[in-house]
Amino acid sequence: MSYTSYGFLMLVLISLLLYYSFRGRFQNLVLLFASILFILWAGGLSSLFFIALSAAISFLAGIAMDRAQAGRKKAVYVLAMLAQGGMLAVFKYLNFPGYTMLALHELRGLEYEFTAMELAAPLGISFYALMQMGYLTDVYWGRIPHASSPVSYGVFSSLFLHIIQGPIDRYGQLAGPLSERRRFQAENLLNGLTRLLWGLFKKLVLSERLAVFVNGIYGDLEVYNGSYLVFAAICYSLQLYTDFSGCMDMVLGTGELFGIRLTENFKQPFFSRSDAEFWRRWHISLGNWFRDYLMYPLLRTEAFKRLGKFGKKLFGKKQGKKLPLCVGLFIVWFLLGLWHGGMWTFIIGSGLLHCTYMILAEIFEPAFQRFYKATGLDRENRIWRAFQMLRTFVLVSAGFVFFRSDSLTMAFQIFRGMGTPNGGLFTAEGFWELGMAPADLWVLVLGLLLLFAVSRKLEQTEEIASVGMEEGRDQASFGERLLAVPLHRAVFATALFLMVVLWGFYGQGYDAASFIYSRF
Amino acid sequence: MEEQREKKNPPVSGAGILRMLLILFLAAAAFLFFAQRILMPKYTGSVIEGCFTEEYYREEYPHELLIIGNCESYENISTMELWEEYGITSFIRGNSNQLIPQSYYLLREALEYETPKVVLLNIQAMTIPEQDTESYNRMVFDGMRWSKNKLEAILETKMEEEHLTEYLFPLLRYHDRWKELTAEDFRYAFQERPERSYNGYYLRADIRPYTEFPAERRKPDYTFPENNYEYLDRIEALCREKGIALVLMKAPSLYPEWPEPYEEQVEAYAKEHGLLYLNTLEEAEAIGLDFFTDTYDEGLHLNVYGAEKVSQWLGPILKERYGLSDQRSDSRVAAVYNEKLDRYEAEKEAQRKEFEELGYISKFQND
Repeated sequence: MSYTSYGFLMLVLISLLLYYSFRGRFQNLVLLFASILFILWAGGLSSLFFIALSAAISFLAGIAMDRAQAGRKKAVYVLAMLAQGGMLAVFKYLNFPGYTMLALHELRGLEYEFTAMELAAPLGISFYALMQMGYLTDVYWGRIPHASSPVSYGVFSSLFLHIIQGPIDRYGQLAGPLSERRRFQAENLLNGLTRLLWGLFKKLVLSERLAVFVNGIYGDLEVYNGSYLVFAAICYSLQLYTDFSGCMDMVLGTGELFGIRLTENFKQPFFSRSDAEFWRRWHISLGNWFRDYLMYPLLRTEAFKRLGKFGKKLFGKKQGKKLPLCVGLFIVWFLLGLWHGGMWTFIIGSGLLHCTYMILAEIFEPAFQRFYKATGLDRENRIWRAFQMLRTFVLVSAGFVFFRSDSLTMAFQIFRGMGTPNGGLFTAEGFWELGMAPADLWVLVLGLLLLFAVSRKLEQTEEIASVGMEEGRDQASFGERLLAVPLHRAVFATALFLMVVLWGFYGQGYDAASFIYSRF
Repeated sequence: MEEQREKKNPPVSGAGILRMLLILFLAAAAFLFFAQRILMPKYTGSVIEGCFTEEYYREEYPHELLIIGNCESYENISTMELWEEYGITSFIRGNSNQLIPQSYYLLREALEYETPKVVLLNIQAMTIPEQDTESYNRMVFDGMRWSKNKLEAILETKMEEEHLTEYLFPLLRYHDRWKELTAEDFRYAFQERPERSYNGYYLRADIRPYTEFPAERRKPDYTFPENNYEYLDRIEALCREKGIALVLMKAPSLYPEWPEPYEEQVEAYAKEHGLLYLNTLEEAEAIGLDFFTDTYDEGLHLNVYGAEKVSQWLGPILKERYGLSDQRSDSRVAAVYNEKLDRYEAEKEAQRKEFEELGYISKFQND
């Protein structure tokens, strides 16, 4: 069951009716029951078993940690973390050594026989495993008390809204809302519907149309090169964004219908002026998880402190203190890439490439400072800002080429192909052969303009300094930030509804069921 | 600041928001209702088969003969010839690739409106286990009135990737037709489109002579699917219950092949249930069929000249065996049928002339 299926919409509708018919803890039971149904439907019994097992381990370990002495507490924590990490490793990284050997051989043009082991991973394991590990760490650090209600912890662990693609929520932030009675509020209905429909618009009207170009070009690399591949890379960045953020809008919008605010995962990432800023606006909950549970603790270890001293000796005081940061970045980004899957296309495309950008930015920061000083360039100049955004888009898109490729060989083939002179895209014949109907192209162009306008409006209402820090919890909802007047919001939602129904790529003849990130 | 904003945008109560949403929802629903009427295919172009199911409901008088089945039923028997020659009132409830279960539900529905003396089932569809083309299902069901019959038929025969929701709200299926709308989509959105069939008969007056078909691959098992037997039993029981004579027929289509094991199964079934079975392939000579002039697609289906010959052969058999009456003497019925007959003759003549001049009929060029 996908979030764009009729079945999901029915599940939400029925759950909502029951949810607001009950009070207090019964509301959580409705959510739990709906989540169990969703998991069974989308992932089968085995997924339900492993999600329940994972939740049970964390729940019991949380209680045990709170009751245990210091030494035993650590043992419980380590054991529980090993169990969660072990399941993740078995289901997701069993083939990693094989893929690594395959990639190495392919890059050297050698043959390598490798048959991947087929092990069906439980639904959303990458997401719920991190949520469970985050909970265990928070309890271990004493940041939050252990969960006392198995029902509300069960809801947190299995919630059908965040189980497939996140956001990677934290129990500490959801425990409060889940313990209160949630009353029906018309405002929530309006805001939730607006956001849900905006997500559907992004996915079904924009992302699926962009996929026509991307799949057409990447599906035939023998034929397409030059301008086509550059165009495909641009389209894929937009496709991935509208697909993933569209899904998040649907999830957060549906959450609002239930009176629950989930973690924001996107904040207009293509307005970023640097790669580092981009990752504070893209898949925010994942970046924050790695920052809070890995990067910061790593930097606080004795080993990293010693590394800092060593760096200062080696490279001088100013540059040397960056050494632990760079090593930390490398570890974190390697694991971040690996989290997407045990393939080097992910490790490079969503990990090490960005790590390289950031380390280079750190190293060359003094040079940039001198450049600004010498030229007197105003960093806030509109043209300069636009250039920085464009540069970030190009850098990020290069990463997405790896991300989209089936292998490193394919990624390098795409990059090489980009260098081949071929301006076929700019001829009418060359463009229309990509399979996009003129009417659909108009819808796509108008839709992208609407996306830009909405993003700009949201950007204006954001406090950029707080991006990723407050996780949007205290901010006004998406709908309110977009259009302050409820009537305007309702008209916008109605227009979105009509556009999705009439222009969406769904139903017979379309395969818009799966979201790109659902495979992680 | 806050006060100023509130003055500019006074807060709206929860009830106000709900009222607003309800009004907008109703407006959107009305818009989508109109959109659906426009976007639903009208089947007025080269593919007209999607009209047939709906045209049954336009019938004013009951029929003594109901013909059910797939394309072999609606292309091989001329209802107008049956009327003109023998005064038999008939209707073909047939569609492209209509499955046996679909024939059952269409028959069950028809029997709620009338009780014919004879039901003639073309049994070629006994060989088809399930639907393989979604558009065929849509042609069967889109024109069908909503009832328990339609609901059960959809649930029973829809393809795996089809959704009941898209039958309940056809807009969800046809929403992307906005790119291909024609003037006819608007013209017939709220106005009845003219009849395209002749009591379910699909008229073709072009000729494309028989040529040899590629040999079909031998199947390991020729047994009809269990599900089709089950629905054939239901058809037989329904007819028996209502006192209707059920006749099984294999139409004279040369392809797909009709090998001996199929023939044996139908013969055995007919014998077991005491039914008349007519294999017109074996009677082709007696019927006078010439597959060089009587087919429009090299022997797959008959053209109007072939279909008229089959009707001339079939009419006396049904009349004599089951006492079908000559209704030409009923002036009210005759008025309706003769009007249809005039339209039929005019269309036949127009197609004949166009084919004679051009060697093809332009409206079927996209077939």
